[in-house]
Amino acid sequence: MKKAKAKSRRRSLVRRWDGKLTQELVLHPGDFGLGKVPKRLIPDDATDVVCGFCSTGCSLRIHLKDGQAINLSPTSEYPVNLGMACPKGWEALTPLRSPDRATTPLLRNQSGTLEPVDWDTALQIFTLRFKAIQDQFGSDSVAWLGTGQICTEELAFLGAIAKFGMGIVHGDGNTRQCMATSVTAYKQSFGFDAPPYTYKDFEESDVLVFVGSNICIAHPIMWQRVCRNKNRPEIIVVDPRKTETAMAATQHYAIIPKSDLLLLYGLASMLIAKDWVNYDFIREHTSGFDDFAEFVAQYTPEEVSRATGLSISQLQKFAETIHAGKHVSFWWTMGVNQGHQATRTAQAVINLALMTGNIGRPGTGANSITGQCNAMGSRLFSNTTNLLGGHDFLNATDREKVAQLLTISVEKIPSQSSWAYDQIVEGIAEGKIKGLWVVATNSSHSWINQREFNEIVKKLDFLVVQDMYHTTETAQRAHLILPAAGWGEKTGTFINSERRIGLVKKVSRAPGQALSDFNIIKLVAQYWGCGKMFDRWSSPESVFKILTELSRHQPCDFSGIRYHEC
Amino acid sequence: MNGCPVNAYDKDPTTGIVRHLDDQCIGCQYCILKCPYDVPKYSKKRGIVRKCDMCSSRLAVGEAPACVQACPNEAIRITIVNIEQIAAERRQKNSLLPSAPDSNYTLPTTQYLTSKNLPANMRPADYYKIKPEHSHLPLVVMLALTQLSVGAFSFAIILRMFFPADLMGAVTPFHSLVALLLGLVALGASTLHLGRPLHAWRAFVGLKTSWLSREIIVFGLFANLAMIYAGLFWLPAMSSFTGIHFWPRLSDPLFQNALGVAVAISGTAGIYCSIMIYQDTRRTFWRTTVTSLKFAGTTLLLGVATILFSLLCQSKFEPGIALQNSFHQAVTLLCEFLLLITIAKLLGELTVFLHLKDREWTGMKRTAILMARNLRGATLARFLLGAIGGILLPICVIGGLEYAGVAAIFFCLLGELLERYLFFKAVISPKMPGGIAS
Repeated sequence: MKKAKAKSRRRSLVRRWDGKLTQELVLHPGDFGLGKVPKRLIPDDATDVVCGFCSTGCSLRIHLKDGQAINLSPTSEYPVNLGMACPKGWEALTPLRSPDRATTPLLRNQSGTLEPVDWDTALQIFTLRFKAIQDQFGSDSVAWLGTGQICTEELAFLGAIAKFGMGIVHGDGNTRQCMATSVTAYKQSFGFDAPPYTYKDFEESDVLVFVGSNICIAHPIMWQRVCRNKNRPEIIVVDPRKTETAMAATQHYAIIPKSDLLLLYGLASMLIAKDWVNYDFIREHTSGFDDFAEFVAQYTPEEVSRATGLSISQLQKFAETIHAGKHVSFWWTMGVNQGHQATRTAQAVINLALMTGNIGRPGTGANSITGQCNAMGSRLFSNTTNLLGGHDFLNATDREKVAQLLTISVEKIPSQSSWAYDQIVEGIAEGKIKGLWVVATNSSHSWINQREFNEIVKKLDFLVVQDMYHTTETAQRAHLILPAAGWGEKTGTFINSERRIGLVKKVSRAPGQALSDFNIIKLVAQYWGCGKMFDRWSSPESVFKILTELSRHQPCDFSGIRYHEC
Repeated sequence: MNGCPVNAYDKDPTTGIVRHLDDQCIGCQYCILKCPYDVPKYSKKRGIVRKCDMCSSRLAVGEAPACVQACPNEAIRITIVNIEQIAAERRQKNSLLPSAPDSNYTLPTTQYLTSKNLPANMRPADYYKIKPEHSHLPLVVMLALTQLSVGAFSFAIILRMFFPADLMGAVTPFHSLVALLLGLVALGASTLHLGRPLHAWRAFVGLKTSWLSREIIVFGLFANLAMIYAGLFWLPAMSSFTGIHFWPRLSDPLFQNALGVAVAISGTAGIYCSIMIYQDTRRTFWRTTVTSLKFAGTTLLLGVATILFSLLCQSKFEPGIALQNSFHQAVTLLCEFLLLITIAKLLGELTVFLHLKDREWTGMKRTAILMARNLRGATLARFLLGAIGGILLPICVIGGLEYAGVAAIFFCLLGELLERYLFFKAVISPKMPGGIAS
């Protein structure tokens, strides 16, 4: 006994089994259903927040200590991610502590350097400069470029004060760059922009067709749902590249780039030729099928084979697989969206789903997956292409309805559509747009022909960038930078790819003087002098209530949802 | 695990999970050099290495490890395996995955399972990607200077046998002081490499298995012997300065020589340990032949250059010895030696570039590409400085410009430091295919 004790003491002296460093990693019960966590990460509270990284819209359980986020884990009971998160989700809190964060308004001084100013100065300059430009060149000489990365309430508020309060005519979002083609395709095919699916469809299909989507990498949690599919599904991937998804597919069609549209027409043609179409569905729910059949008949297997680089037997196998499936779902992402005939390609996918009756049932659909966390919110409420809530600027009844709901005068609502992103850029080049307000996007980096764009923005009299980071390429070119709070530092909602509304909560304090986009916009309204008009828009919650009212009787009616139920 | 000088790794007999004892670690990072899978990671903030322990503490209470819990594809499972069955399967294929390190070395029980057949010509996505490794500057200095010190002591002892005692007697005090000081700088530098040098006293714990442990002990012995040995030659000076008379036997040449031989032997043993440390990592650029030739070459080269430096300096302090014939003989002989060793060493080092012609992307070809491309500046400087110090200057000395020899040590030392820098920077470490290697 004595000997053993002496031995263990000697062992602990020359061989330390315990100590400060070891204790750092010892796990203790974390409570809140979190399992065990290291001591320094034991939370005193926990709350669920929708992730702000991508359009999947996972729920993250934020571990809080003294009201501040200290760690997170995926929420186990949320129907999107079922207790999983991708590496981007696991690291969601990391960017908040980035040294690149903007912490104070920055104004470019006489010598051309950006120097800190207080909010009062920043907003006075904002108002003064934009109003001066509008006085000199007309109210449409100031435009804004928005985003799919701020909360729906903020997007709606931004679009509303810009168009109804400040008299701005032209505004668009960076969502133009990714899925505007899908929006148009859905509008033209269905009459309303609405991707018709839920993530459960990934699990219920027996054939999944992915066109231009590397879902394994881009949307890992959606791929998780595919992995949970118990039907041993055929997974078809159409992609010129041998992506990770292509590696995991049961059939990979590596077509020649730009031949996707021809492939889809060819498949339609083969399905019709073999009579593998659902005539009942076509008769009841579609129009113009005969014209379509006549049109695609010209895409013979031989020609499609030549154009796509696939053999005729490959094409036949593809068509047969679609035919054999009882629950076929079609999915696409940026490979289609950003193609040179993207709207038609998306419609060709939709038509395959319609003609085979693979829509409106579990495990089916023609389904566009988006990218940004709130691309869907921007599609409905950014007040750019559509009037708030999927209404039409050109339609007098719609304008009247919205004016009434918002209790503003109908004259405040423009009766023209705004320019698209590319038209706004052209407008700057031609000197028609003199002032630009960029919110949560980095055009200098992301817009096509980057060098040309960066030459063009030099023509602006006044460029305001409102962003989390002061180091973005666009911010570095700005005359005024407004520091914004990020995800997790404010409240509001996001709409994910399957159009589920998720709640963002404030779990961390924004750095320095950064304010939420909501509060920045509210301040702008006050300084501009149109604050009265937006008296009802007092908080994200009250704006959400207004948005639910705007959606009433629309195909996207969610007027029954209350803010805290999200 | 075997390489750890302080025995900071512990393998659980039941689960086979290797645990790292964070508070035992001294931050020497030798395990990082040794692990072919690139698993242990160094934390600069804490000064220690940490590694995955498969969340043992979670497994112990029946919770899933973090990776198992986090993988959306449910691709990871941790179980107790049948070692014999795994060993049998391992005999059929020698690595976990194409381009993964050889399993016969580590005998892993990890398995990558797939129902599909892997293509025969499968290569990692990062097959053609090569990047320089960490330079480990303290180790660069430590290796070059310990070798200098050992070479300088040993060479002086050999010269004492062949040259008149009055010449060598005049040079030895200064020379041994130079050799000792640089040796101590080397050992000082080595502690800068450790994340937690204050805990390095435990280095004897791993003596049974770790060459690093052995190196630390042997060089510790060498340093102590060298201090006593160098001190012996300063006894007369100290006596006259302090007026204290030391035990006369200490000045006995027989004792001096015996101690000198002990210094040389312990130093050489230390260098042998250094060589074994690197060969034990199984990296091709560090294999025994290459490393031994390099380390032995540096020992000879810098040893000769140092004694040449000492001789020439001493002749400045004591112009009398420059009048001796044996002085010039010694200088010429040393220069010829230096010339010979340098040419042999530089040519030997140049052979790495023969691998540029390898058809396969072998480890050596990658090393050669790194040296020729990414590290071109350092490579050119290495050969240029080496050639000036070891070829140009000795020729000048032989040609009559005797004092040009003083500069040889500086150029040679810089050249050798760069050689050692490239030794670390251009090595290719084994790792798992693809992925983000850090």
